[in-house]
Amino acid sequence: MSRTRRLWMLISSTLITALVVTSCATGPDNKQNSLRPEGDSAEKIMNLFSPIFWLATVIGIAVIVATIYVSFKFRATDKNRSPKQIHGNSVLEIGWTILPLIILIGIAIPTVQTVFELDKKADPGAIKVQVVGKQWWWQFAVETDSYQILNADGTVKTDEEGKPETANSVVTANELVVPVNRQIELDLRACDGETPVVDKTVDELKQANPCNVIHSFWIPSLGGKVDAVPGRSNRLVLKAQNEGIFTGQCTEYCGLSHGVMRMQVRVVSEAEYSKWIEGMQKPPVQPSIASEGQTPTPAQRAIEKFGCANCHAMDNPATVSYGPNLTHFGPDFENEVLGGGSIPKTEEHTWRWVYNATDWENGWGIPMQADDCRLGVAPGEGKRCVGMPNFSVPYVYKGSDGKELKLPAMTETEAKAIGDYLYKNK
Amino acid sequence: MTTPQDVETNDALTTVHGSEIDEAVELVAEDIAVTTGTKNAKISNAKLAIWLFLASDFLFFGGFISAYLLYRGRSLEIADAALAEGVEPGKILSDVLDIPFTSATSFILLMSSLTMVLALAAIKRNDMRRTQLWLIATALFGTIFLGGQIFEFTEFVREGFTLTTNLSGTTFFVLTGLHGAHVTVGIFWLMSLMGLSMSGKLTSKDSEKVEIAGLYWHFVDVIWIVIFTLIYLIPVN
Amino acid sequence: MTVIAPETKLERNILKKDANRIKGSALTALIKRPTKTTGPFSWVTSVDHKKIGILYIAVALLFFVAGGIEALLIRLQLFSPNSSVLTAVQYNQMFTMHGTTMVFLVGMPIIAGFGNYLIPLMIGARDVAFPRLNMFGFWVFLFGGVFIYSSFFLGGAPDGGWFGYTPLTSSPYDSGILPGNGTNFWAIGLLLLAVGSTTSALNFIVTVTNMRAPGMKLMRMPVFVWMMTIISFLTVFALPVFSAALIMVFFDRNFGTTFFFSATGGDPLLYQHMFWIFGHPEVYILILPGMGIVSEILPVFSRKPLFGYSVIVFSGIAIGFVSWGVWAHHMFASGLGPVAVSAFSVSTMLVGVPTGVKIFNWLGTLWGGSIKFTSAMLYSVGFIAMFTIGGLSGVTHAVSPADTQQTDTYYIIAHFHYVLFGGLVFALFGGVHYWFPKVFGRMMSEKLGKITFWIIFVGFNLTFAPMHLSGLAGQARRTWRYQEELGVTFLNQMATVGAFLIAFGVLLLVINIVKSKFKGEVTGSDPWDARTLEWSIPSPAPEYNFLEVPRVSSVDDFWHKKYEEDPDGRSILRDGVDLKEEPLRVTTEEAVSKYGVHLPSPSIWPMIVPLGMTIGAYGLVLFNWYTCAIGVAVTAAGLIGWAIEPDTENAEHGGAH
Repeated sequence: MSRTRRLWMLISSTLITALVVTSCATGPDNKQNSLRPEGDSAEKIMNLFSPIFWLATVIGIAVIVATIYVSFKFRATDKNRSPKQIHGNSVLEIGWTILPLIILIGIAIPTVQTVFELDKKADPGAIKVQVVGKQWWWQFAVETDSYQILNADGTVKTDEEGKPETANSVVTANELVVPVNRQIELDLRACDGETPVVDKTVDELKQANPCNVIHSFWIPSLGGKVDAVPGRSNRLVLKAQNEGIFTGQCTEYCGLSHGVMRMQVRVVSEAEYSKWIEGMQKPPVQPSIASEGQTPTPAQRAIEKFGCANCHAMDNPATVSYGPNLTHFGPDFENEVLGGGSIPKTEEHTWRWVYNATDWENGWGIPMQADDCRLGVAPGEGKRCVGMPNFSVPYVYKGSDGKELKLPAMTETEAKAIGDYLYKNK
Repeated sequence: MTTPQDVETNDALTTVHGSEIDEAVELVAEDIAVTTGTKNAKISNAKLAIWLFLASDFLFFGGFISAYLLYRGRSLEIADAALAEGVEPGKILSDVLDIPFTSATSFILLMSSLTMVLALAAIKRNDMRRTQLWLIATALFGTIFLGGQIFEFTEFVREGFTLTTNLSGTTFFVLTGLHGAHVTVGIFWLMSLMGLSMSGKLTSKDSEKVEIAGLYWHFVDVIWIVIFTLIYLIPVN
Repeated sequence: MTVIAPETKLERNILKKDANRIKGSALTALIKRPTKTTGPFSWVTSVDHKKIGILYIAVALLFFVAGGIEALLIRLQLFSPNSSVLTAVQYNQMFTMHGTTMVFLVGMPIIAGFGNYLIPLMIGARDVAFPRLNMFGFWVFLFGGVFIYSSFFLGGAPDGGWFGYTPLTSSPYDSGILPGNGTNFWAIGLLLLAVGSTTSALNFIVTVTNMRAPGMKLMRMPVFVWMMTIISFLTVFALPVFSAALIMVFFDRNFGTTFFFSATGGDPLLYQHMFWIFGHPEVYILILPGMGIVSEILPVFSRKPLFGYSVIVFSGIAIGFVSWGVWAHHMFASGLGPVAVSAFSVSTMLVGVPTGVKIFNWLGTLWGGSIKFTSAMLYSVGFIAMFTIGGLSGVTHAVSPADTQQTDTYYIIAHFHYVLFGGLVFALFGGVHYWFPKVFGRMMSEKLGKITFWIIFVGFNLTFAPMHLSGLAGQARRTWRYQEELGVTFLNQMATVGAFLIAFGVLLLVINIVKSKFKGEVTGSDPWDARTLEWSIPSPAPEYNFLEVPRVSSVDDFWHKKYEEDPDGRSILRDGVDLKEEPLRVTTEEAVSKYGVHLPSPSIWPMIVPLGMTIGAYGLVLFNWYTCAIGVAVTAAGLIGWAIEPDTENAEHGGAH
């Protein structure tokens, strides 16, 4: 390493340390701290930002001190009632135009270098993840080697033509599990793929694909944020340097519960990661539908009664659905999260979420706009179906013949049954 | 001749007789000229204002024209993608355009700019009859153009190309619709000038009013030339 | 003006023209033209730029209080991590309305108010180029602001964020994505306000171009007038782009168009580009007048001319131009690609150069001066310090990789509040103290003013300084709650306390203003021994401004009429100049009849047209086409009445509307 490079790194690390120490004013439990990089990308940014920040601070303090000094030195006294009427000084003007320009050029060069560095594609061998921002949670489809989808009883799942189904990704929500020291290439999108819309009436448009908001993916400890924009796919390459859980949240206002749309990245060892992938590729411990000849369990009955399958995939780890894929909902690790990443995944929280996902007052839910989801409709038609509805109350609606109909409320028992079913599907 | 700046107080109007009145009138006129900017102005207040307004309006149209240009061809891509999924694509603009018809109406709009110029020339030489003639002609041509637009739009809608069909429809109808709204405002403006003229309140001293209306009208025409060229004449394939 | 029995041919001619005009306009005969220029109703019909300026500032201060209350509610909610002071819906409305209010209902109008009051006075004119259009701008602002706020009672306030990104705001009305009328009120309300801002800007440009007093060359104009001119050009060119974007949003939301709908090929980023092409010049529109005000106050209380006048002017022009080339620095995280990101990074850094130059020139103004710390001076010096901080954090944003950690966090909120509050608002408060004597003929309480400054200064820094840290530590913006684990709770609590301190300070300021208007120490025309033309006329400024149009021979002409320079370059009082001597003051009637002064007459139409526009706007957002039609009719009637009416009842002259 050249001397200048070493000097630069020495200065950088001193300044970074200073900033990090300052950041200790925030909590030690803070896993969402851009000032304590735990990933390559965040570190590169910090190396660039820190010296510039301190330079700006020094300049700022200098200007403010100068202001205060000048204000005192030249305050009005009897002796200086008539100061010299100086109009300007060309040398000074040129000087204090050129100097900032030079400093800024000095800042611009490493900036542009870093921009291009951070934009580079990931190395081959990186793990590819398709990330989809939804309202109000993050979906992760982790690319794996091709594997066969199995039914709960161990038989191979076949499609309509009898061919065995294979997949090359596992779909999960709220938490992204990655191995340490390996590059992850995130492909950020705002919806699951869009059917092109042509020749629709206004009403039909209202029902069309829910690619209706921009989200932004931000795990500060690992890297900067990148938006998930409808119609686009944006790339973000991260590489975690340490194991642990690093939290983040959506950082582009996306509606009602934007404020609690969070997620976390769990960095584990390679061995744990392989084990996790294997577990995800397996079929669910319990299927959501009873097989022929068997009596449905209370959970399976409740699932059918309340139409969970309308929004959630539950028997196939590779399927993408409107709501999170629940095939392996059950926690494989400690400190997992549910409910848009803002609620700890415990047994109680799980059944309470199923029961009433809008109960944010008590910390068991988040605000939703989803009452009409009970009708099994996609957003639109003047109906509000963004998020998960509150099942703890009955849903009254007008049928096609104008008569008032009612969908029943879920009981706590039913909710507990479903919760138990979900929690066991690790 | 004393100028206001050179006198301490202005007693010129306290006694009303004789040549002092001419002085007084001149003083008032001078004050007006200085304080309303007509004394040293290279371009009058009203004309400067209309130019600034037109610059603003130009950027306004620029927003919609830029959207149109950025979105060119996207409806075709979407239609192709939809076809691949077995969905019937809707009509796009090039399916329904009738360039000969629109060329004719565009020509009429261009002619209306000519009649506008003639109206201005007429009022400058105090020919009120001709002024009214050319103003009516301009408004008439503008109305014919509008009529042509309305006919064209209803035809498009009948053929299945509407505001909400696709991105092509969206960008086309909003842009041309706003232009049509501008033409409509222009026609009302011209009719007001007609009204003023017919009640005898428009003289050659008011030629600037006609000039300003003319500037607006020419602007609307120029915008149409841009729209016509970009949308109608340059095909999307 | 009183009509004297015609004794001369001149007077007979004048009266005949009057009679013709009144007879000829049937509509105005139905509605008698208002004539009074005093009394409460005159405030509704006045076209006097000074009255309009005061109206703008007064109403903008009311909206400032509204926006401040919204901010206090936000801060109350954020006092603890999982608070329930506000529901998520209410919180989203609060931050949307706070931003919308502060930018469009406080920032732009209060600047228009200052510009209105001061520009004619500073260039030696009697009024602006188009007095009735000026009045129109105010009423559009008032009605537009009330329109937007009425949304609270008509289905909920806007909640799409103050910049209203699509497709959140452009999703079809019934799709449930952003339910309610709020966004419609937002879009149409802002379109209304855009009309008013554009006409104001137009008015200022024409006024400054054509109506300067003899000898008032461009490079002799006060810096404030220069800044107002530059921002007027920015307004005229930037606002229409935003208006186009708003129309697209409104159409997408209500009429099924698909400008921003990706499934049809639309691109949500188109909105962001259009918004920020307006939005970035907009923030310079907000700050340059503040810099202008500071450039007026600093020299007066240093008793020295502005250091580097032409450099400050040219750097303002440079900022005006460069501000068009930096917009995408608001979009660094949206996936523009490394080339675009680098280009905008560099251009954003560049725009810091002319800005920094100004700071140094202000310090140069203070250097070697005789500095008197009045309240106005405290705010101005405070501006230098606070704007430096805000500007420097801005430079850290220009480093785009760093910005990907900073954008949409509290670090950004800290930055723009330092430049907008510590910058613009400080300058405005300083300007209030400074020009109060000219407007009301009385002084504000200096003692209370200084206490107020320090309370606001401490409160402001307490509120926004911690946000730099909490943002980098992971607290995102527009979040109704935050995680306790972040460890930023204490920082947030500090910020909340600071916010209430600010509120207390603002309350003191309002008390000071009201008290001083009635009980303040009466003062003469030039209490500060100032440098620019507005201080050469009596206080409060008479309706006619200048009895005789001034003749200008240099920058700071008024100062040079009072003082000359000795060989050492110091100012000494000219022979025969008595600083205590007051300029002649006459009544308006006397000015018109004896001194040949020509003034525009009051009018009601510039209030009717905005009324019609607002009625039409209600029709649009409530989908009631009858209301729309009534609105169009009232607007049309107003326009006709306006067009037929001459701008003054007596003398005739060309062109002005």
